[in-house]
Amino acid sequence: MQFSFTEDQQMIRDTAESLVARSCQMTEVRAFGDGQSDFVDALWQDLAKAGFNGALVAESHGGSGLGMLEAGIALEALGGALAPVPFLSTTAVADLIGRLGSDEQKSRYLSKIAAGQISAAIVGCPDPAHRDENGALRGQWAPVANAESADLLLVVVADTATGDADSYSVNVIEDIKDSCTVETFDTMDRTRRGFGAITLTGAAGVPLAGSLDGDGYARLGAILAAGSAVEMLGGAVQVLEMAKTYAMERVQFGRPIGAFQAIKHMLADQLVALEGLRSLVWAALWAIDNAPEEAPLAAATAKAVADQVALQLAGENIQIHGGIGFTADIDAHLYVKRVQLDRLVWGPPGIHTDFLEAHLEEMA
Amino acid sequence: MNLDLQFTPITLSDRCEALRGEVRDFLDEQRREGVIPETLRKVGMEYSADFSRRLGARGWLGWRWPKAYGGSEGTALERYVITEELLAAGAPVRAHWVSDRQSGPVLLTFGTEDQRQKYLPGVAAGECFFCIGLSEPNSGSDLVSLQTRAEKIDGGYRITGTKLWTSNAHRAHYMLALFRTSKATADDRRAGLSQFIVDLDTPGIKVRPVVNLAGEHDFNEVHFDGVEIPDDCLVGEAGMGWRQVSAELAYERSGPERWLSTFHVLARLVETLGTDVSDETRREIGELFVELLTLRRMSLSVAGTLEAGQPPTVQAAVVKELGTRFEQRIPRVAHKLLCDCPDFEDQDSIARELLEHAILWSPAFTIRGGTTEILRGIIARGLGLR
Repeated sequence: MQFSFTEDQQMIRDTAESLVARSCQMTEVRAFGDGQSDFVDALWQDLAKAGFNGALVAESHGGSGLGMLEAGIALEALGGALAPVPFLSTTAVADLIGRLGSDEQKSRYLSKIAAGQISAAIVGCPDPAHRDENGALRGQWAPVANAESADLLLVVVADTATGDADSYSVNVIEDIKDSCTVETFDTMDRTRRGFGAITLTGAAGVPLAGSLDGDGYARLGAILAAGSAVEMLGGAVQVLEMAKTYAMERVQFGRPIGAFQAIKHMLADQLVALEGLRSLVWAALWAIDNAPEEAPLAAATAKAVADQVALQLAGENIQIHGGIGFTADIDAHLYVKRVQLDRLVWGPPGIHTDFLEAHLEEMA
Repeated sequence: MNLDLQFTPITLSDRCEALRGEVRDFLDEQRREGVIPETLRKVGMEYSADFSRRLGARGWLGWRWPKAYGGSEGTALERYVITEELLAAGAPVRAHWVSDRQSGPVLLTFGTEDQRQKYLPGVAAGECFFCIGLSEPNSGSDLVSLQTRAEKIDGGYRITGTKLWTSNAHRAHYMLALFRTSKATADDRRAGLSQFIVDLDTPGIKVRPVVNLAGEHDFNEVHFDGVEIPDDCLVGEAGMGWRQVSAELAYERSGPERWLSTFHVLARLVETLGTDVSDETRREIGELFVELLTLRRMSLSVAGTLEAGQPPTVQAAVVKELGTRFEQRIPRVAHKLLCDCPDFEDQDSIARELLEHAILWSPAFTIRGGTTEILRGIIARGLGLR
């Protein structure tokens, strides 16, 4: 039993880290926040060329044929670098099309996703769309990642007609603006753009050939929750490093502030929390690939803890920096604002803790 | 254990409650005239020189000061009532707040008669605004280590150095600043500091905006490049500045603005949720109110200590420590309860705007005016532990 990355995975990790160091620098992220987005396309292409966009795409369709653990490696690096790319949405969509699509549907989309030619958004998990009494698709979600720029929108629909509580179809919408109302809005997170409120206006798009049963829906939920958690882990690692560095450099009362127990203990507590999160996140990603029946619980746990720990570390990073932490002069504020969004995008924190509660009740 | 700490219960007099009514009537009038917004979209105090002047004209600034200086010779508890009502109404008190709360009292206690005559009436009238010149880039929590020096020259002093986090330096008339006039000694690093009034129009002063993470300009960095100020700018005794500033810091930490910053988020939350809520929501709101009312009682006690003429150093530190963490708790709880509220997307955007602003500002509460860590050190000292 091996609880560490394999050699291949470590190589993928090195590749991801050097890729973001090269193609997603903090100066560019800050400029992005001020409205400049030139570097984003280049970053997306670099990720595709390195095989990351095709992580969950079969090799036969131009992908890397890897698993969620490898996609998670990329997500950790992207989260740490505050990258403004819709990697998780697109990866989740690639997985669904690969599993449920007809040959034609797979050919139509997968190689383009792997090549970095298209990006995607997804709604309906949690909170699936439903059909009204006239059979029209209804649903409303906010905030949806990549709502503004997605080439594809996947909508998970609860199939109440079949009488089976656990049956979902997945519709693909290409002409997004014609099929739904997309209302984009600015959020406090300046490291990402294009979040929006999506309201279905009845048009369906085209369903994927296969449908999701309860397990399939749970897998999708796990991918989104664990994927978000590992992104947040990446950010948490960076802010702890930032706080530690500052505590060692900032001198007050004749010594580095890290010499004071208040700061020492805060950082030690942060490390303990971070390591707990790290274990949960990798366990969840591993489970998605290797023990699917364990994945939903593992992913909900990872996300629930990430929601707490990432916020704690990002907030305490500001506290440790004191006054300057409250300015736009350092990057601490970027991480805190991103975490606030991350806590909402795949369902508010209550969703994951409710899932855990329900699970505990079942066990009782 | 040395427990020198008391929170004596206070009952407000009829005079206080009558004054409260007058302030509320005044605030209603200001709201009708559009000087105070009907709906609040931001936390914290807005800046309005007009409002400050109107408040001064009503005689509610410099409340405790002698009438000879434009004051009303009122009590600290009455002042508490006035400030509590202003904050609860979201009145734009920023422009005069610091001058009224601490700069004026410092001049009253340590200033010369000429200084009192020159500055206090303007502050009491809501027309003369001070900012605070304490922190520096290398001296935050360790204020005593400050390096901006005031070198004695013929007829005055020459100032060289930089002050940081000076809120409103770009809009104030004067800075009440702490500079180093002589070297600290081996056994007393607090010796050698002196307080000065600096006219911000003096040549050689450069004010650079420092934008906060909410994208707002409030803070500044102020450079003094050999700025010359006359002798009569010295406040109190040269070299005794630390003792004066300690008193000033106790005033700075003593008021209800240390736990009321996110009050409107709580009020808005209760309005938005309505009455049809779960027991758990009821419990969470109830807990927030218990804390609010407790903090209020403690804050009143602090005002009582001020009334008795004592600097409420440890008590103010306790109230600020509890209060600022409470200020942070409100938007956290509000966010949680509103997220779980099924119609959140339909809720009015003002509630969301206010909540978002509160979330953005939250980190500042436990940093500004003395970090939580520093306050705990003061409390520990009050327990006899250092």
